[in-house]
Amino acid sequence: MNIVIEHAQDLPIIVLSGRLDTATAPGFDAEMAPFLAEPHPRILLDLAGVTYISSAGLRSVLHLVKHTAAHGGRLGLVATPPHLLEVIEISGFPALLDLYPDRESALNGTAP
Amino acid sequence: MIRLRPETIHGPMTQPVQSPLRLRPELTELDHVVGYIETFADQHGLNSGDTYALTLAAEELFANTVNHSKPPATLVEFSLAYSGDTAIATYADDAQPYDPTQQAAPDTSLPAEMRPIGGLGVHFIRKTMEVFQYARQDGRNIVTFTRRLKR
Repeated sequence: MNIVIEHAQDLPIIVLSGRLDTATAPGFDAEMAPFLAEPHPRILLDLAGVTYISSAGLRSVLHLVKHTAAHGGRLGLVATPPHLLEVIEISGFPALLDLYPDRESALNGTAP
Repeated sequence: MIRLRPETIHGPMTQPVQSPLRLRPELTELDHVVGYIETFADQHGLNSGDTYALTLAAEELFANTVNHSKPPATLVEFSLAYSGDTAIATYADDAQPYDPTQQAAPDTSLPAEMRPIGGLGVHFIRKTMEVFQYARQDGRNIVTFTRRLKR
């Protein structure tokens, strides 16, 4: 798993690649801790390079959802690969966050 | 949910393709579970959705054993077999009796601030598998789950 935090138009974009599972989610949470010490009402999570996500990974995503909600905003998922959508839908996450097909629509704030 | 008797699941037409995987209940062993399922997927030409669902179910059970079994399990066994158009998975550990099929379903309609941070794993198995059943045999928890393969 690889994590890079980029910024575009003052918006943080977490670019994740690889597997987010029981083995790697704790490392992701640890890496996010200093970032989440600052308030971020809106965060984008770019999932284009993610091959697999399990419930442990979705727990990590839920931390981001709760952080943005606590600051009056929402998390945006960008470029979610189609095979990940089934678990995201089963989890009821689409009601908690915004799904964008690509960065451009996320940054333009185009309604998902 | 369809309930199958064990003799139906492990009938004469069922051919295990790999010997069962034996694992220590440690997170570093998760790679072996993933590799085992990928080998099975290659051998039988599974599509990515089916491979994903089987991997997810196995990981959720393995994570439960690693994180919650008390006293800790000492051995986990996992195997996949193929019968007709169905993949049949058997997951066993030697921990205290625990029946994941009885775990209550999470409320996936709660708003963000009220969402509990857990309980989704078993929910995934229930939603993506046809059979999900539990037995206690010879001091082991044995969970069977099956998925009809799409191709």
